[in-house]
Amino acid sequence: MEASVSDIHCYPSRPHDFVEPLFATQESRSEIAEHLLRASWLSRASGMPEKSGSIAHCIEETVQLQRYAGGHVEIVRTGVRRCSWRRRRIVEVLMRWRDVRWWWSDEDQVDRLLFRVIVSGHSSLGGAVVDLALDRSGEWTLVGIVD
Amino acid sequence: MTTNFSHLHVRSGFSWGYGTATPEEMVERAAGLGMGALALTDRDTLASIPRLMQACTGTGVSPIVGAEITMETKGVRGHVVLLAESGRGYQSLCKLITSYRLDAEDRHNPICPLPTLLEHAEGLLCLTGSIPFGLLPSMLLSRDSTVSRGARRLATLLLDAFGDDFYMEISDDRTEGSRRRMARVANFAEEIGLPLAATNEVAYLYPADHRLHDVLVADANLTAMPGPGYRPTDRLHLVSAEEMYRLFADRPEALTNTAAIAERCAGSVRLDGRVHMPAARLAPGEGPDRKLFALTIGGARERYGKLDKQVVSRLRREISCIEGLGFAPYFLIAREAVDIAHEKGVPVTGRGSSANSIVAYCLGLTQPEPLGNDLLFERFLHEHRLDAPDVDLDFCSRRRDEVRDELMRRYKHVGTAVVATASKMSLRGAVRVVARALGHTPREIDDLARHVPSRVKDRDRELHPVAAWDQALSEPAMRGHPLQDRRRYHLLLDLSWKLKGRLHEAGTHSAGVVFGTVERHLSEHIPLEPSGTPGLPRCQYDKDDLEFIGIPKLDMLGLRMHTALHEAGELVSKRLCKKVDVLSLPPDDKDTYALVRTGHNIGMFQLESPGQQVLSRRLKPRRFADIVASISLFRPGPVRGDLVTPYVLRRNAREEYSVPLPELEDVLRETYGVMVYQEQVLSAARAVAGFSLAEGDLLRRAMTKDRGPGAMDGIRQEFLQRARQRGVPSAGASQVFNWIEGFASYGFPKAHAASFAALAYSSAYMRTHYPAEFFCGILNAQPMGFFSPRVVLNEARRVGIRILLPDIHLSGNGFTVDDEGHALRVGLKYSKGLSQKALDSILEEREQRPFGSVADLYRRTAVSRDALENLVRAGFLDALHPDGVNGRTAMLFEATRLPKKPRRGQEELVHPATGWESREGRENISYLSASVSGESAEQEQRRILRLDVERHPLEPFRATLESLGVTPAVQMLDLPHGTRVRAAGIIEILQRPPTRSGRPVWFPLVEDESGLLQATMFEGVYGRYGHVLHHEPAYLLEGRVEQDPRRGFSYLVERIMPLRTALARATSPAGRFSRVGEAARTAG
Repeated sequence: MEASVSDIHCYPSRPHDFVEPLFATQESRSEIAEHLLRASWLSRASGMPEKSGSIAHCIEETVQLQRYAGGHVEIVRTGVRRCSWRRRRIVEVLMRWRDVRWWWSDEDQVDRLLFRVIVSGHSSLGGAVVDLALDRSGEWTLVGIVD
Repeated sequence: MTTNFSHLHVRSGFSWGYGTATPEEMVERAAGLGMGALALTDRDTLASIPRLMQACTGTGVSPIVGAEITMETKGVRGHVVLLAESGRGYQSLCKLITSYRLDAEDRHNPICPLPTLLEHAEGLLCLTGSIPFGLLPSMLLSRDSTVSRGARRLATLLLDAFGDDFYMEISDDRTEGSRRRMARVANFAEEIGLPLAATNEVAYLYPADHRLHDVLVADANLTAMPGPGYRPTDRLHLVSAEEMYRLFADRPEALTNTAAIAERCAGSVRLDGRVHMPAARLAPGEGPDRKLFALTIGGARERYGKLDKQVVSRLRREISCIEGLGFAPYFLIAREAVDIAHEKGVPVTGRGSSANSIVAYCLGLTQPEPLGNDLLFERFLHEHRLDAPDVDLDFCSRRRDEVRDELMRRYKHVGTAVVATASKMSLRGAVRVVARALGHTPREIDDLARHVPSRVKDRDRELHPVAAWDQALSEPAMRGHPLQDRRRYHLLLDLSWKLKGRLHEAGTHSAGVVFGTVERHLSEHIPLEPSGTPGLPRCQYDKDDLEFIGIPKLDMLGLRMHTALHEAGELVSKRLCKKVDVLSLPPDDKDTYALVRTGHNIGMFQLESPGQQVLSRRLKPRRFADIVASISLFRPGPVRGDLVTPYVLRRNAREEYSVPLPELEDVLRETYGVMVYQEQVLSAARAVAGFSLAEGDLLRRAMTKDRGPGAMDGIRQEFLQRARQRGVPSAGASQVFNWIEGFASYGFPKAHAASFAALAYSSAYMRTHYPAEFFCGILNAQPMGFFSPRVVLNEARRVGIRILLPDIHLSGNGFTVDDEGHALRVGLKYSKGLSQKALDSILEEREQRPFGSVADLYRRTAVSRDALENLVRAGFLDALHPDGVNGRTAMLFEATRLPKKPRRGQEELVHPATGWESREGRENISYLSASVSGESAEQEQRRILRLDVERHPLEPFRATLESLGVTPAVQMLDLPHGTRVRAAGIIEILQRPPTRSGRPVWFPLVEDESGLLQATMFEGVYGRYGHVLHHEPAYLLEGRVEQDPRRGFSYLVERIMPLRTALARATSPAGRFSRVGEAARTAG
């Protein structure tokens, strides 16, 4: 989406008639966020026509899940030569959902089960939240957006 | 783990444009999953409830009555789910739905105001609606803080109204964030102390059906996928109890509450079991029985004069039965409808089995005299019938609504409504729906849907159903069709096949009206909704549902033949200056029967179809009873059962007849040993086994329903045993039983046939004696009958009536009779594109002074420029130019230079031939000779009027056709057996009726200058040349004449060629017809 710096500067930072609270609350912050999200010049990585760009890129990487005795599961990244981590243990499944969007399009159709999980971190870094997709062939994919 | 779970929030196909499954499928699946109860909660409707209740019988699943109510608060639209926990709750639900649906601004998107919901809470249990589209969840999850704050207030109001019967519904549609949303809703419930109920909002049966659901949603919103509110999930299916327990393992109390709700509501509403008689209007202190008696006796005296013993006895029997059953009010309302018609001068007659009743006859509801016609009351009504009576009245179609509206106005205090229908999707319709959802353009949709086999129905049975796409695509009509590219259209083919036969949309029954009872307003028996006609409410149940719940309907049909005959009668009366009543014409008119015997029956009620024309020639009717038999015999059943030929031969004394038992002699004498009428089943059962007529009727009804071999064995034993007691030999009795059993499924009620035969005779009489007025009436009542206006007009020309050219100063609204009953002039409404306002303005302005020019007409009337050009092309304005027809080009030029007028909502009149144009092949008829001789003024006129005004389209090719050896249709009938002959004609209709052998046979009906020819095509020929029939309007046929001594004439087609090809070849120097067959074979 094309937008000039001037366009961005002209966009008001608060919604019309917004009363600034003395202390910001969750509601007031979300009202501002909603307002900013409505800006015509704002685009999200998920809406990008390409899978990567100058400011963000989407990950869609085949991974393996290894199960160990005792029940714990690890994500193993094998397909990428350089990456920040190779193996992470799944600590918790936060969310699980189905995604069958664009089933009517031969090119874009999706049919998968998604899991949002917390993976363990290195001692120096905290854990991370990642999405894993399981498609009909039983293949796992690491999906996510990095802005 | 015990998994006691029942679904409480389920949408069936009656949630139009949302749900995909029928109630029966839902119940079957629920039973398969071991569920003890199932709720159906369709959107703003209870339409699925009667079918749910019937489907649950014997399955172990208890029905729960409910509905999803659409509401809107603070700009948020959502739903709540209401479940009836008693009969009172069902009444509340009916009243609630009626109230907000009838008041809705947009009948397709009704919204229930909150106060209305709160008013009708009695006996109902409320769920807040599923996540995220339930009203309360939508508000809670709203990003607008004022809306989310409003949720608390709404919850408080609902809690006040429903008290302990108010639950927070939690559901997991398994979309991204669903668990988070559910947690928010559950936390809110905890905050305000609301119990949870776990549901899965169901929209389809199986996960794979989510595609059908997505297609239906997109189609209902006239958009391509994704439709509004699209969710990329396939989890809105009827999930198992185990899965629900897994999903809600962290909220066991919600599952417990759901089970408790199901326990409370399951089976709490019963709708069947008794007939709810409507409340008749009575004077104070007057009872319905007394009023019926007085009216009947009065009518009997009018009909019979002095009442003899037989009449009195029959009246006594019928009145006592009607009183015993409590059906008097129903008869009184039917009588009131007839009275209103008489007051307004609207023609009315009865039809159906009610003509078996002498009470109905004396009340003026029916016309055939029951005693003289051997009509049996028990075929209509008896003490053992548990269902409601059914009286059908036919009114002039143009004025039926006047009578119906007046009757409904009189009964508004008890509530009245018309009856609904639930239509299913045909394969062709499904292709259109899927193509639209897949984003094809309107033009592509037309191309994709054209020639896809359409559904042909005989009452509730589909004829020649298509078994698979393979079969449909191999049909000759689909040769070269875009869908043959199966790889490209794989999704469209797959989805449309799965949608075929699914519930599609609600409609309005053509005739049925229902009324409230003395005890309760109609809206407490059944929910009502707007029908689409302003001020006309429609109940949400169809005729079968109404029968199930015991609400009798009165059928008030609009019959176009009444309209046509009435107009013809008026015209004749005016011309002759004496009243001609078309419903009481001189009986037994020899000339009338003579005409019917020739088979030239176009326009005659019930006798005009090609099959009836052939039957008329074979049967040679000489009296009224022959017409009654003729109407009864030409039905799919008797044709399949081969009753027609024996009857015809015996009627004409060309074959002796015998009956299996002497006891049947009296019963079958009038029909020459052939069982033709349903009434004969009753008489035969009485004669052989000593059954009472009522028992005989129960026997007939048992035989016509699929009751399984076990039940039928019991009935057979009873019949044989009682026959034996009467001394009838077992073998003979068994033979008779088999005979009756075979016949019962396709017999025809004599009372109905006799009612129709009266109109058939009237129409035949009018055609015989007043043909111009008769054809004028028929052409002005279009669309009606079997034939297109084009063929009807050609028939008028063939019987010697002159067809006068259209004239802006002389033409009427429709056709008019001219020249003392010897000519017909084309009416203005046949000019395509005219609006009613434009037409009225022409008629009004020309009364002031004649039109001087095209511009003058345009200026003084509401005629649009396109319609003006059509008037020029059709020849209406020839009189405005000194060169007449040759001045049309100049007038068109003048018209195109006139400024355009704003249309301001003027709707084009539906052209009388519209229905015929939409049939395959017909749209090309007007271009028939244009392809050979170029566009001419005559062709343009034909294109606008859809009539052959000046001459038959084949007339210019008379000599060429003669040189090709073509025999005129009218001469074919007399050709000797085995003659090979060529014919040429324009397609009128292509039929594929059921045949005795079950083999597929096609009957193309073609018309040439001399008349109609019905040809016969067997499977092989159709396979080779069928595509020509579907893609071309006119053909050259080659085949063989068959003259069967038993079955009469038939023309068996062997080869077909498009007529335009044959004519082009014949007129080109190198063209030789000897090559036609070869070329056609190549084309095939």
